[in-house]
Amino acid sequence: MTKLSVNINKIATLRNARGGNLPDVLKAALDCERFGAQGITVHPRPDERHIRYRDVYDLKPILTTEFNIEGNRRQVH
Amino acid sequence: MKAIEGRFIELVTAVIPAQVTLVPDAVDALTSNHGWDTVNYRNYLTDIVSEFHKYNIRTSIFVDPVSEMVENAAYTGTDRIELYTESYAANYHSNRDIAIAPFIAAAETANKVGLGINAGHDLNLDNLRFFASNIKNLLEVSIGHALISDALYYGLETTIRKYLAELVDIP
Repeated sequence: MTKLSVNINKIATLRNARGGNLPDVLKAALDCERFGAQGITVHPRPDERHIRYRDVYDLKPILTTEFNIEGNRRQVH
Repeated sequence: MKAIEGRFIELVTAVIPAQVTLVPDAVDALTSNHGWDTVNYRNYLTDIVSEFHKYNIRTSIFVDPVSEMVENAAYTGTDRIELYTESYAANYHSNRDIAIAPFIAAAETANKVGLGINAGHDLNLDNLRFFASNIKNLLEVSIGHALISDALYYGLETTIRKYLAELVDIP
């Protein structure tokens, strides 16, 4: 069966809008897993406007499903 | 620019995720808006795929639904491709059979050359089942914007269950 990986970038966008930790991105990722998602996807961008590099480091040890990092080594136009 | 390149590699090889999906974004891209040119960037992609394979990280290369790009992706040694589904989603409501056609062809090529198939971008509760029903061996879909938007109305738990329901009982 096709797996569903939830991209949580938009949750980070909402959090970043106010500078605090609401919504909690790590909790949201764990809840996605609890609700049945078979993977979590993040796409950190160099300006860290949604998922931050720190989030990626913090997510790895707590996730139990497949962690997928999208991104680009080189910035290609 | 070099610092950015190094930073992404450092992040991925420190975290060691199950999968890394390579996307050819410009720095200022609002969102991912095209796949890799796997012909012109073949050597570059081969190098980075082999680098991530050293860490046992599965690789996926984001491509447009063009058989030539899929076929050439295989030469990089990547495990999978991710089909960029924006055009499918954009054209789904006008004619879904036409919208899906290039994806069926690209998936056939991927299956022929032994690449796993992921998909993503603008998949949603309207168009997901038809896509999954028509793409043989679709291993994974990654969905963000539409799913999080649906969660405003349904809540996160119900939303995820609705998406999962679209992926079961696929013929």
